Amino acid sequence: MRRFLRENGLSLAFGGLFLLTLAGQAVAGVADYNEQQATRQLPGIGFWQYITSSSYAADVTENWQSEYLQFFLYVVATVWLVQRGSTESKKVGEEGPGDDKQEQVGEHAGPDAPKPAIEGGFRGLVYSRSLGLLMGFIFLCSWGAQSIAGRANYNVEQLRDLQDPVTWGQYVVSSDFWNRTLQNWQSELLAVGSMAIFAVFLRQRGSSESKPVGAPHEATGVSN
Amino acid sequence: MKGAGAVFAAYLVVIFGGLAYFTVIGLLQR
Repeated sequence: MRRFLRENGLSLAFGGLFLLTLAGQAVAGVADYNEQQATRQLPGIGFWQYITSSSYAADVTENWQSEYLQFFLYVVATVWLVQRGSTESKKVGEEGPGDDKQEQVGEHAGPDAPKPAIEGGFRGLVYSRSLGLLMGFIFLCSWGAQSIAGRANYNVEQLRDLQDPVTWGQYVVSSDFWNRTLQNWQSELLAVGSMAIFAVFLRQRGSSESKPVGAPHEATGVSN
Repeated sequence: MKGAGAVFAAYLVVIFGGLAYFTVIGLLQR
């Protein structure tokens, strides 16, 4: 058990923190929701009613989609774009999907390689892009969920304000949908871009996201 | 890698379970 916890510390710690903050978001969210209801002299709702509301669903999914868009773009963009000196980048001149030898596929695969990497073919082709494909798929599913929950939440507000509800088609071209979407995208893109360039000149001793403290600024694709 | 496989599967269950849950909420509150 101790070995399991140690060997999977990163994913378990972040998974645990995710569950805690998701619960925290629900607690703060219901308080905020009820405050807004009170200012409109409308009745408040309970905790369980809130976590089954479209308001909570829209708030959660709009953040999920942008995180997975960020990782999808980063996984795919780092195939083709480089940043000289960054730990997050391949070396200048190595842009592109790489050859079979570099990628250790087919005849270059070792005995412990994943099966699709050895076999090649269609399965090998899909497996060799599976990380980006999964991130992109989760992004599209989350964005779709945001549009459905966001529309339901928007219509609750419309009806409360004695306005006509909108269809899904009307909602996905609405300012509410795009405001919720773009406010999340912009922050992810800023964080990713700044991480790529900050990692050139700054160090974090002991972190796999950083170069060794004494590595030169020009060292690209080197990490602890 | 058995332990890591279990964590990998747990993440997928949470992500797709969560997305299904939030989608159903949105669909039921039309």
